[in-house]
Order: sequence, then C-alpha cells, then structure tokens
Amino acid sequence: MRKIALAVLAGALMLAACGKKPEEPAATNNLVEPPVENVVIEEPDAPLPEPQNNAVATPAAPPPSVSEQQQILDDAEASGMTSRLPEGGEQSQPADESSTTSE
Amino acid sequence: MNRPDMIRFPLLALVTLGATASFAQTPPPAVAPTIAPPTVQPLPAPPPPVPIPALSPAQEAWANEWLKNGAAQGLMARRKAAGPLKGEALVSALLDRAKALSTGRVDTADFLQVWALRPAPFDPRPGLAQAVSNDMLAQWAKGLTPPWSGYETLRRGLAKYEAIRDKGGWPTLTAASPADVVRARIALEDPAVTRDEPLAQVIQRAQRRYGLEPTGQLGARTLEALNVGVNDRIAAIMANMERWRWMPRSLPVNRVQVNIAAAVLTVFEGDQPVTSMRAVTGSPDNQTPMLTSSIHSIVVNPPWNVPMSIARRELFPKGRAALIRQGYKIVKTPEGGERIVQPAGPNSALGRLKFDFNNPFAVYLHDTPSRGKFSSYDRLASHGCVRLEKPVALAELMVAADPNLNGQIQTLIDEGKTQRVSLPTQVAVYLLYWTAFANNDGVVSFRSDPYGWDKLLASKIEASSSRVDPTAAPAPSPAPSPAIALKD
Repeated sequence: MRKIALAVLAGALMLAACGKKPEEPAATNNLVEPPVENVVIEEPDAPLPEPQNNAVATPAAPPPSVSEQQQILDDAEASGMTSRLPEGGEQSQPADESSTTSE
Repeated sequence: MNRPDMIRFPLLALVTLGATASFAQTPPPAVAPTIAPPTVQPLPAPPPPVPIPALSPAQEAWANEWLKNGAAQGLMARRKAAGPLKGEALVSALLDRAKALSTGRVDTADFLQVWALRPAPFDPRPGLAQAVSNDMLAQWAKGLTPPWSGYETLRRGLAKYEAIRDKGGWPTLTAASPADVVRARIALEDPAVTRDEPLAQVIQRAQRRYGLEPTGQLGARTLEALNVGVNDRIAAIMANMERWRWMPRSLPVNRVQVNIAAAVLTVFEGDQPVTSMRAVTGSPDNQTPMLTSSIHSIVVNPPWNVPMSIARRELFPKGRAALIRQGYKIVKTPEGGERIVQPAGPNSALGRLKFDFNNPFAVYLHDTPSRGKFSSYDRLASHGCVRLEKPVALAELMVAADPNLNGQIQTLIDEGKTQRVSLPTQVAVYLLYWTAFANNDGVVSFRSDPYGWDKLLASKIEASSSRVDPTAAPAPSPAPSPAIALKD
C-alpha cells in the first residue's frame, strides 16, 4: 500500500514537472521602437549663454533725467524753432556741390 | 471783486451761442490766414507786370549757378543737368524759384482744406527787377527763404541725409542685430554716439529723437523708426521745409505754438519759450487743422455743445435714456431738430477751461477729464481739438497782465459757474504740423506722419517742380534704385 502511494506521488510530481512550461526568453523585435518611458535619455549639459552682443539683450535703462528747462527747450524745438536768423545768415547760399544730389 | 474784463454768461446763453457750430461756443468769424470767403465784387484789373531789366552776362552766370540749389533747398529730390538759361527763360526760372522759396512750391489751390496755414501772396517781380537794376542779386536771394532757424537747421539736415543716401543708406536692423551694428546705424544720424557709450543710452537718445518712450531697448516701434528708409526721411524733411515757407515772415513775440504731430505745446513770451506741456491732438480720422488765429477769451466751466457729426456717430446710437443717464441733455433746435449738450462739470469733455479762438473748423484748446492719455507717447486721440495737460497754468499766464484776474483762475473754476474771461491781450496761436525738426547741431528729430501729409506734400512738391522748374529732374519712379532697395 505504501509502495502504491509513493508511486502515485512520484507520478504526480513528474506530471507536474512536465506540465510546467519552460520559461521562454523575451522576444526581441528590432523593428519596433521601445516605449518612450522606458528609454533613458541622458540630458545634455546646459548650453553656455550666447555672447551678449545683440541689442535684445540690452538691459532696460532707467528713463533719462531731463531738467524742466531742457524739456521746455526740447518742446520748443518740436513746436517749431521760430527764433529769427541773423540778417545775412546762411540761408540761400549758392549751391553747395557737396550736398547736391546726383545728376 | 471788481473784474471789468470778465464777462459772465449764464449757461443757457452759452448753450444758445454754441448751437451755431460743432464745438463752437461763439460764431466762427473769418480768420485772415485761412480760407477767404468768396466775394461777389468784380476784382479790379491787375496792374501790368513789372518789367525785368536785361541781365548782364555776370548776372546771368550768377543766376544759373544759383538756380542749381533747388535740391539743397528741398524743392526737388534730384536735379538734372540743365544747360545755362538765357533771356526770358532765365528770368522766368528766377521768378519761379523766388516764389517757390518764399511761399512754397505747391500752389495754395492744391492745398488740403485743413492746411489752413497759408502763405501771404507774393509777387517776386518787383524785387527781382530792383535786384537786377541795383546789381544785388545775391542779397535779394538771401531774403527769399524763411527767416526762421527751424528752416535753416532743416536745410542743413537735408544735406546730411542726402549724403547718407548717396553713400547707400543704412542697413535694416532686427531685434537680433549685433550691438556694434545698432550703434553704427544710430551714429549715422547722431554724431554724439561714442564707442564706449552704453548701448542703452544710445538707443534712448534715438528714441527721444523719434518721440518714443526712452526704454533703451530695441523694441518693435524703435526698430520700425530706425528702419524707415533714408528716402522717406528726406521726403519728410522736404515736406517740413515747404511748411516753413507757409509761415508768416514775422511772429508776435507772445504766442502759443502746437505741434500737432508731436502733440506738444510751447508758450513763447518775449519770443522765448517759457513753458511747455503735453497735448492730445486729433486722431488720424479727426485731423487737427493747421491754422493760425488769436485766443481772445477763456470759458471757465464750459458746457460742451456736441457737434452733430459726433452726436450722430457716437452718441445718438446709444439711445436717449442712456444719454440722459450719462448726464447729457437733449435740446430742441430752432429748426425743429435736436442736439446734445453736456453740461459743465468735472466730467465735461471740455474739462474746466476752454481757450476760444476764431477758426472755421470749430477746434479749440481745452482741458479734459481724461488725464491718463498725457502719460502716453501716443497722444493723437481727440476729435480735432487740442487737449491740454496744464490748462490752468496756461490760463494763468494769459491773464497775468490783468491784476483783477491774475492768480484767480482756480478760484473761478471752483465757483462752478460758466463764465467767459476776456484776455487782457489776445494771444496768437499756431497749430502746426512738424514731423521733422533739427537742432543747431544738425541732429534731426522725426515724428511719425500720423495724417499722411508728408508723403502727400512731398509728391505735390515733386510734381510741381517737374512741371515748372527747368532744373528739376522727373520724380523718381516708385521702385527705389537697387542700391537703396538693399540698404534702406
């Protein structure tokens, strides 16, 4: 009786061992991109700052200080400089060839 | 208080007076330099033209040389090689040039209606005849151009910009342009630029020349101003020189000058600028006219008789109930129609003070409750009137000569009543349009051309020169030369 039980147990163990599929190696498919989340990307070093030679990089400047008197003079200039030229001034001089345009 | 020069009007009387014209509180009388009313009387026959004596060979040589300076005086963009003129042709060219230099190349018949600052008629014949007889052609010529430094500094500026153009103009800048390029570009116009100067300071100075906020940064508007082509700058200078020729040859020593394009006002006393202020001038759709007149009175606490054009366009569409809620009054007119009145008060569109001067456009200087606009660099926003940043200070200056009114403006405002104050002496006012003006160092400032008058006027100058001036080359075609197309 004991021999029969041992034989059944041994047979069961053998069946169980045979029924277990061997572990298959992971399939490799070189045609499929791996999921992005699994890709380790090495971050590059932070780029060095560009040389500060363009005008955009000009820092904001505080408004220039203009005295009240200077502002009045600037506004007078904008409103029309109506100071009278001295008699015999430079106006209406004969043509200055250096300032005339191309023929 | 004894105020013999102050005339008080009840509100209703002022409202009735104002019914005759849009902004007007008083009927608009004729103004000498503006458009003259048509006359029905036949004109007397004109006197025969003054004969011009024959020119000597030396005078002919001088005259032919002098005629070459048309481009230097901004009368044409380019001149052509013309052979020496003689006889009638030479005399005709001299007369034409003399008239152009004195009163402008463009005939007043070709003016826009809003260019109401018009030169006095000028006959060059008597002066030329005398100059030939006395052999004083050079002295005669010197007296033809406007006697104002504003013209002369622009003439020098024109030569400078023509030289820049002839060397190829300037490069187009972008926000990424290297600092050295930006500095070199600005230095073409600004001789004060140095290699060691901070770029922000250089840009700030340019921004002030263009009427922009001086941030020191190369923003979009600064780039736009810097990238205006040199030919357009030359056209602007020419247009402004032409406007100087429309100015009177003498000005009262006490006056108010407004630059419409720059929205700024300057007060001159004894021919010297004594104060200035920001202004708000007409939007491009509501152009402030160029004109001259005299301020005769100030209305304290003025009601606003809304011009029908504004009422129809902006107010009546809101509905009567909304208008009444906003404090407007709808008044019947004698003709059976309706008009809108905004009573005097802190929210009146005219503010607390209105400076009255006769003009056919119903425009005035006045206060405004909308003070925020004065801090802006874009101040062309009115319906054509000139709003003032410091109206009380201006009024005080104008009444200072009257001991009964001196220092009393704020008191009168605080009284709350609508009243008209006659000025002890009328003050001349000039509404001008300057988009280019130069200082004594030859540095030219520019403003944008908000009304588009510069290009229009420059084209009229060119067209007139091409038509009548034998030394003027035809106007260049719209397409610039390849050299300028690349550089401008």
